[in-house]
Order: sequence, then structure tokens, then C-alpha cells
Amino acid sequence: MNILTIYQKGASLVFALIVLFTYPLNAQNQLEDAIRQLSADNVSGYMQPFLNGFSGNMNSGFSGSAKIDDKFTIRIDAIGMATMIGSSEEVYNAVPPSPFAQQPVRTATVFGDQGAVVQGPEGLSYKFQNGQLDMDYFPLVAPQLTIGNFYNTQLIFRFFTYSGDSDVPDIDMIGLGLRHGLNQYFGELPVDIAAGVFFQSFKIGDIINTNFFSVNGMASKEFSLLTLYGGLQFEYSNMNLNYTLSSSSGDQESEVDLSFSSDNYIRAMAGLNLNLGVVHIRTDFNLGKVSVLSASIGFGI
Amino acid sequence: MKNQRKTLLGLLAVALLYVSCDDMLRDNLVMLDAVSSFTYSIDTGDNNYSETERVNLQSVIDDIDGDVEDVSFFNITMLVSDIYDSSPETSFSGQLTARQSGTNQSQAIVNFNNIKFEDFFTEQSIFSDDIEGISVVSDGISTLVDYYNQKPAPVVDFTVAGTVNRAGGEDRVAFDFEVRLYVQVATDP
Repeated sequence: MNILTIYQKGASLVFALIVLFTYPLNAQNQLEDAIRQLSADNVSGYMQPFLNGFSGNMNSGFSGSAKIDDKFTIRIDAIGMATMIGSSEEVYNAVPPSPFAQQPVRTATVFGDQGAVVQGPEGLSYKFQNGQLDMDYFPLVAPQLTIGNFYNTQLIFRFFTYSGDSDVPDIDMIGLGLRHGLNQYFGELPVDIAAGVFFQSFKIGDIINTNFFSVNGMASKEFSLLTLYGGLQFEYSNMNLNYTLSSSSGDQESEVDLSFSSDNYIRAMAGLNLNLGVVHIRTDFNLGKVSVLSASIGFGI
Repeated sequence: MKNQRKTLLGLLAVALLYVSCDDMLRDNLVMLDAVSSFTYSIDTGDNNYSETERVNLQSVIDDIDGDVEDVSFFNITMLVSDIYDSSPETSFSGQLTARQSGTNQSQAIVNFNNIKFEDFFTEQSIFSDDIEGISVVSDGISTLVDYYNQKPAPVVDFTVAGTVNRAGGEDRVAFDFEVRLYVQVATDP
């Protein structure tokens, strides 16, 4: 997978999300309708791999250097990220509705293929929701603005919005981060070190609202144009789903308001950053509960 | 000329994105649950009751956006939604039957015997083992399955008829009795 592919697929995913949630106008939108059919007991399992991949991506690619001195900096980056989707992300255990046996059944997540079919009384059967996304890896692209450095501190912004007419769900992404250079507190060190904190919010349509929080420590070493960097990150990501079940029987709540968190909490990262004057190219690999490859191209000083 | 090139490049980019995007979507149907419900308002001064509701089974399918590829019936539930001034201890017995509109042949779906109102204050599947006194008629379920296999699904007269057994000594017994038919609709979005 090369950087161009990540960018192409990441941009495609934004487009895909718009298509998924809006196409055709006034008609059903595929993913929202798929979700609305799922009970509160099942929807978190169906969407958990989506959140894991989404949070793996969104908590990536903040910076490629720990060197934050008091020099003026302004930079715009386009960041591409991709999370690997394994076969284990394609299935989960779900419980069918009444009157079928209330036993867990292995069936497709949003990344899986066909939903399982269970047999019930009098020859009746029930099919679980089918998977809707076909991906070996989950790509995403985000724009990022970095401004600084004031008192060895820089601010990071991520922002994306899509607002169509009343038939089209809005997509709103906003992120805010703060990074601080720490070398000033330790005198001479063989590497540059920095710490950062980031908060991001991503809302799609009426039913999906996701928040991402991360804190990281980072070290880097410059070798002429090339910078090697690495770090550790703690992160917490949460998805809220709020919708009315497309139909519900007495044993199910018709209003679903459910929050669940990503499986990613800790990650280690290592990467390379190439500084070519006003052009900056960076890539890193992130290892945690999910593996993320991130790359960016940026312009600025 | 420059603007034309830009437009062409833009269209090409959108086309590439659409092709990539299309690769990400599975060619799978979306399964949607849908429900047809109808309510009998029963008010009787004697021990017998009989009410009929005409239901167009196709209407719930027509309400689905997207191309409907398949419809399958999977559950039927009953609920006493209001008993007015009647005693919750009052029980009722009877039968739910279905008859396709324009035909003479009725088919029993479920028989119920001595069911207390209070046992149906929450929605109950007729297949549930939780309540005694309910017996499902297999041929009736097959008939419902067949109705939904028809294209379009037919208009059906559902009749509930039977007797009430007063527990509170009231002159009249009034209650609302709701029946819900659950189907799964496979749609091509």
C-alpha cells in the first residue's frame, strides 16, 4: 500500500460516507438503515470494528517531530491513515429477536459479508443484518493546520464539514490539539522530546457521534533533512448511536441511545519525516490493538 | 479551454472516487424489519365478542425505500393496550383467524384460552412459552408465510372472536386488543 493509495482510498471513504448516508436523496441510506434494524444488544458488536478502525485512524498522524522551539510555525497537512481490517473484524456474536432462541449467533459485522440465518418455531427464519463495507483496510484523510510556536507550544486544528440541503445528513469533524516541547526543562538531551493532548469530534447524520481523546509523549532525532521519531500514546474513543429501531417487539427498546468505546487504549509509534524546506513528507507505523499506517504531505514553515 | 480542462479533470476525479468508493461497498442487501399492526376495540355487554380488521399487507412493504427483493414473515405478537374500566383479572378466550379478502376460506392462526388481560399488558409473541393457554396453528402460520410470498401481498381480513370471563362483576367489558405482524424485508438500496 503506498501513500497515493491511502490518499485515494481515504478521499474515497469520505465520498463513500456521503454516498452511504445520502444516496439517493429522499431514499434510504444504506448504513443508517442497516444500523436502525439492530437492537441495542447487537449494534455495538456490529459497529465495534468500525469504531476501532475509525479511532485508530483519527488518533494518528498528529506530528512528525518532537522539536518545538520558539520559532514561528504555520503548516497545512493532508494526512492519510489506514487501519488493517482482519478477518476477526468481520464477525461478532449477536442475539436474534423473539421468538427465536436467545442464544448468541456468529454473524457479520459492518465489515462482514452475509448475515447469519437462524431457524425458529414453525419453520420461521430470521436473517441478521448483512455487512455493508468491503475493505481490507480502513482509510481516512484529514486536513490539519499547525500554528505556533509560542512558549514552545503549538496548536493543531483539524476541520472538515459537509452540509447539504435538508435531505442530506451533515458531516462535521473538528479537532483541537496542543503540543509542548519539553527539552527546555531538561537541558542538553540527545533527542527532542514533546508531549501533546488532542480532542476530536466526528458527527455523521443524526445517529452517529464519535469523540476521540489522546495524550502522547514523543521523541525525535534530526539527521539533516531526515527526522526519526517515535512515541507512546494513551487514547480513548467513544461512539454514541442514537436512533429509533425500524420495528421493535415487546422485548426490545424502540429508542436506542447507546455509547461504547474503542478497543484501542495504548499505542506505540515510529516514523520518518523528510523536511524539504516548505514541503514536509512523513510516514509512521502505529502498533496497538489495531495497526495503523499513517502518512502526510504538508506545506509550511 | 482552460476551464474545460479543469471541468474534465474534476469529472475524472469524481469518477475515480466513485469507482474506488464502489469498491468499498458490498453488494449486499439491507435487511429491514417492518411491522403491520391493527387494533380491535372490543366493547361487549355479554360474554361473546367478534371483531374484524381489514389489513393491506402490501402497504408496509410499499413504505420501504429501495427495491424490495424479498419479504419473509417471522413473528406475530399480541397486546392488550387498554382495558378502560375493566378488571385486569378478566380473562378472555378465542381465536384469531385470517381470510384473504375476496375469498370465503378462513384459516385459524392461534387459539388462546383463559388469558388474563394483565398477562398481555406487555407485547407477547404467540410463540412464547411464557404464557400458558396459547396454541399456534401450524397451517395458519404457513398461510401467513404464503400471504407475504405473494406479489403483491394481499388484503386480509383478520378476525378475533371468542368469550370473556368477567372477574370484576362489571356490566360491560371493554378492551383494546392489538395484533402485530413482523416481517423482514431484504432491500437493494
